[in-house]
Amino acid sequence: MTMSEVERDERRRKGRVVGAGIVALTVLVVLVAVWQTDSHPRTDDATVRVNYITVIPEVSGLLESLPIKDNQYVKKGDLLFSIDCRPYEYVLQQSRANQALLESQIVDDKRRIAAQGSAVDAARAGVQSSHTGVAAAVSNIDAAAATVARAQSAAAAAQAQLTLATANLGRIEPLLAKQYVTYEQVDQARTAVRVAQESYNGAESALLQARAQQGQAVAGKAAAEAGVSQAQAHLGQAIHTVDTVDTLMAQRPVLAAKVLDAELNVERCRVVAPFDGYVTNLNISEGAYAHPGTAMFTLLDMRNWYVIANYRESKLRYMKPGMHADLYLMGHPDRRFSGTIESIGYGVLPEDARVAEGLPEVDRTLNWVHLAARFPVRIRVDNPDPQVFRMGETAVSVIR
Amino acid sequence: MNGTSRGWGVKVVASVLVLLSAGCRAAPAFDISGSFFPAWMLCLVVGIALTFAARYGLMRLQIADEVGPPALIYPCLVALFTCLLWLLLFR
Repeated sequence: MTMSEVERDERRRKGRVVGAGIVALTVLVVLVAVWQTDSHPRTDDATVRVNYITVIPEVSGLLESLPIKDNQYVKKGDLLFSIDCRPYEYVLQQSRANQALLESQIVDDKRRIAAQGSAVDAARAGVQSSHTGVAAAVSNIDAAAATVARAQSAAAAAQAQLTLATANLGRIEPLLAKQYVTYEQVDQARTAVRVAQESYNGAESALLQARAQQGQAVAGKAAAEAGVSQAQAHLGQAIHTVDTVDTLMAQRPVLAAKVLDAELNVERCRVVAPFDGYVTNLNISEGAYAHPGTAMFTLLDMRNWYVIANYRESKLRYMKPGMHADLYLMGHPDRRFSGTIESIGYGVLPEDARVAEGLPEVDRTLNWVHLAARFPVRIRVDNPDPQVFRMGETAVSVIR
Repeated sequence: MNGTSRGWGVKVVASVLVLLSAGCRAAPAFDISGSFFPAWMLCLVVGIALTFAARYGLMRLQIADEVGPPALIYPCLVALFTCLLWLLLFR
C-alpha cells in the first residue's frame, strides 16, 4: 500500500464520519426545532388591542362644550362634552311643581277628611245615646209592670172588701122587718157596700191605667229601638261618606319617578369619561347635534392592554389560560414584553357558514390540503408601556 | 493547521455559549422596508451562506468528495445551520 493510498483511505474514513455526523446532527437539530415550536407556539399573526367604547349621548341637543381634543388622554371623571341642558331643566322644574301641587292637594283632602271623621264620631255618639234611650225604656216597662201588679193587688183587696160588705148587708137587711136591727145599721151596711163598690171601681180603673202605662212603656221601648237603628244607619252613612287620599297617594310614586327621570336627563347632559383613556376618532366641534344612540367619538380603555394572537387550531392544545407569553411589537423589535394568556377564543366564523337563498352554500372543491383555522388568543400585557403601545400594532407572541 | 481549526472551533463554541447565556432573544421577525419577514427566512439566508463556507472548509480539508452524496449533505447543512441559528437566536 502506497503512502497516497493510505492517505486516501484515511480521508475517506474521515469524510464518512463527518458526513454521517452532519446528517445525524441535522436530524437532531431539526427535531429539537420542531419540539421547540410545538412546546412554545408562536405567531406573528397578532395585533395589539385595547377594549374601547363609542361615546354615545343619551339625550339630544346641541353640544355646549367639548373640552377635549382628538388623541387626548383623559382621566376617569373628566368632562368629555356637555349638551345644552335648559329643556331638561325646565322639565325637571315642571315635574317638581307637579309633585308640590299633589302634596298640597293631599293636605287639603286630609283636612276635609278630618271633618268627615268628626261627623262619624257624632253619629257614633248618637248611636250611644239611643242605646241609653232603649235602656231607659226597658226600666220604664219594669216600673209599669210593678205598678200593674200593685193595682191588681189593690183591686183584689177592694173586691174582697166589697164582697164582705155585700155579705154583711145581705145578713142584716132581712132582720129589719122583724126589727132586730135599726135602719141606721142597715144604712151603715148599705153605705159600706157603696164605699167598697166605689173603692173597687177606683182600684179597677187604677189597674186599667197601670196597664195602659205598661203598653205605653213597651211602645216607648220599640221607639227607642227604632232610634238605635236610625242612629246606626246615620253612622254607616257617615262612615261611607268619608273620603280617602288613596287616589292621590297612589300618584305620589308616579310623580316621584317623573322627577327622578328628569333629574337623570339633566345629569345626562354632562358626559364624563368612565375610565382613563385616549380619545380617538373625534371629528366634531361645539354646536354639533347630539342624537341619542349615535356615536360621537371613541374612547380607548387604557387600563388593560391586550395582544390578540391568532393561533392555529393545532397549537391550541399546548396553551391554556394563565400561561406566560413573550410579546414583541414590530414597532419596537428590540423590546420584549411579557403577557399572560387570559382566554382562548371559542368561536370564529366557519368557512362554510355561508347561506344563500335559505340554503347552505357549499363550494365544489377538490382540496387535499386544508389550512388550519386560527383562533384568537387573548393575551393580557403584564408590563405595557403606554408610550409604545397603540391599538392595532403588529405583534409577535411566543408562549413560554 | 490542526491548532488553527481547534482555535476556530473554540471561538465558535465560545460565541455560542455567550449567545445562549446572554439569553438575548430578539423579535422573531424583521422589518424590511415595511414588510415583516419571519426570522427563519433570515436564518435560511445566513444558513445558505454558512453552507458555502462549510463547503469551502470541507474542500480545504480535502474531504468534500468523501462526505457522501452532495444532494443529501448540502441540504442537510443548510437545514442544520438554519435550525441551529434559529434555536440559538430566536428560540
